[in-house]
Amino acid sequence: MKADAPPYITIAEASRLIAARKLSPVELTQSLLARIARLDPELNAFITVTEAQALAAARSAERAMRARRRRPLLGIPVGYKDIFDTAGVRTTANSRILAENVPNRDAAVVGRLQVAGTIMMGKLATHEFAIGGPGLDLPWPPARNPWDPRRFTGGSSSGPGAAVAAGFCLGALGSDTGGSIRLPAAYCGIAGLKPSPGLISRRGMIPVAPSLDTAGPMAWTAEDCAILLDAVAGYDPDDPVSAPAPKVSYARAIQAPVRGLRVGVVRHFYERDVPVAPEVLKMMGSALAVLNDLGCRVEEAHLPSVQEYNAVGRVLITAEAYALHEGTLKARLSDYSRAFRIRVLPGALLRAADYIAAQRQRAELVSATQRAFDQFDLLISAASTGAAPMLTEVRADEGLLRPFLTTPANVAGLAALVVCGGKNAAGLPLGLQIMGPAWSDMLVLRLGHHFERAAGTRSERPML
Amino acid sequence: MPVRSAFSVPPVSPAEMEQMVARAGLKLNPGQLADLVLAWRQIAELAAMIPRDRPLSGATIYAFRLLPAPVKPAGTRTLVAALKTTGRKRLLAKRQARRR
Repeated sequence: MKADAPPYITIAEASRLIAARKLSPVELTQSLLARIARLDPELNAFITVTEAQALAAARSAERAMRARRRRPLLGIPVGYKDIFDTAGVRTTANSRILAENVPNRDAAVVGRLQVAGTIMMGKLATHEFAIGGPGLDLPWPPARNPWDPRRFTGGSSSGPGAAVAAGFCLGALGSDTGGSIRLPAAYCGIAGLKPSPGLISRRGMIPVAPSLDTAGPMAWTAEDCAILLDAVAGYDPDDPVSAPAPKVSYARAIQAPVRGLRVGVVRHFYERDVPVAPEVLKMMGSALAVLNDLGCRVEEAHLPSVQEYNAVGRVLITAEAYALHEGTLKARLSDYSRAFRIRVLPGALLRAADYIAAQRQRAELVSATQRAFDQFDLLISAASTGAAPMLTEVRADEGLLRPFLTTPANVAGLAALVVCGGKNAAGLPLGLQIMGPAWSDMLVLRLGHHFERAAGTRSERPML
Repeated sequence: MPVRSAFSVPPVSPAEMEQMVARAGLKLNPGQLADLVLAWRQIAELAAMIPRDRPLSGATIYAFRLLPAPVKPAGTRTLVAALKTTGRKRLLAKRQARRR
């Protein structure tokens, strides 16, 4: 690839070209670094660009390519939300509390992607500790949406959403506690997987609420997420939630057809519980037609209300996040952002009985959700109530004020993927959410992959 | 003025809130306290939505559980180690010879 060639390319395409020795990892990396230097001052997707390390890793990948050592992720540029530990590279969580924090060990997922031959382009923007933001009182400015830089990327994996959509890296790792991978995927028009709890190790990831936290891949397509998942999934005794999972190649398995899959539409989520904008209803109508054309058996499904999941999720997140930060909050309260304080400080006032009641109700919701999968292989809903809002419209108490359509999957321990379902009249992306029972990650990726191909939503990139 | 709630959360006056905050060991300036009053109302309403009247017998559903026992429980010695440490070396040698 020449340095002036368009940098938009998927992981799958780049992997094939590198394997055929038709794409140089060094030239690819250089072209992306040039793009970052030109465009990121406006988009703020990066907290730290690791240019020297990226070029060194690219040269190493180039040598491996010439030696014909084939690996699907060899020479693929990626980025990490700045809550994943990276040895020798600062990991700030976009907080003054950790502004000078330089870990001496990589997070498990970072290590796995390094071994797979990827190239780290840098550390990506996040809400403070993956919960407080967006805000102008944070050490680094909020990431901006590549489809319209006046707009929000979604959070808290704001940098991964912006960086993948802008073509700064081909894939990224984010984290999802209540929707933090899937909302940026929806607003930035990319694919993002919240995996089954235990599928991807969280060792070395700064936690928000450990009973709900997951790490997951974000990329332009569901297929690219599957390629990343092949590298990062696996048992890790250092994460107590990690569990041995069936060893499959997600990238290969998603190619199988989807004809005959039973897909439940959780219409009450987005029509009654949290009514969405007319443009989202229109997108959902088109998405259902695509799924019917693919041969899926689509029928209406019923779950507990979004509000029920959200109440449990918010109480757990608030209590657990406060417990983690209590000491530092008391010592350095004014070093935290206002959004962080608003979302986490109420945890100081919750009682143990509130937390236990939420855990008991969570078990009920898990059972109720599981019963839906007696009838359906997968469930779908809208991912958000509308397209990306203006950054100035996002409130510090977002999430407390109105439930997210993504939180039920965290509370119920589901695998959940957001893919681009279409666009609104202004050309802004709208997300389709595909949910499956725990350990159905392959199936949700498979439906997402076939949907993207049939709906044709992957052809258009942001004009930058 | 008391903070009002849409759910069954009793209103909390600013004085009560100050007391709760002090009991939690937090020192907030007036702006931070005002933010917390609003945020607390929202989270308290969410907490109030969660059912509480459950039978005591249902309490085990969220209880602590250990991971499944490993195939070889901790502390179990292999047959070879057991034979060595119990001094039955002759039996061990006999078994090894049989294998050869």
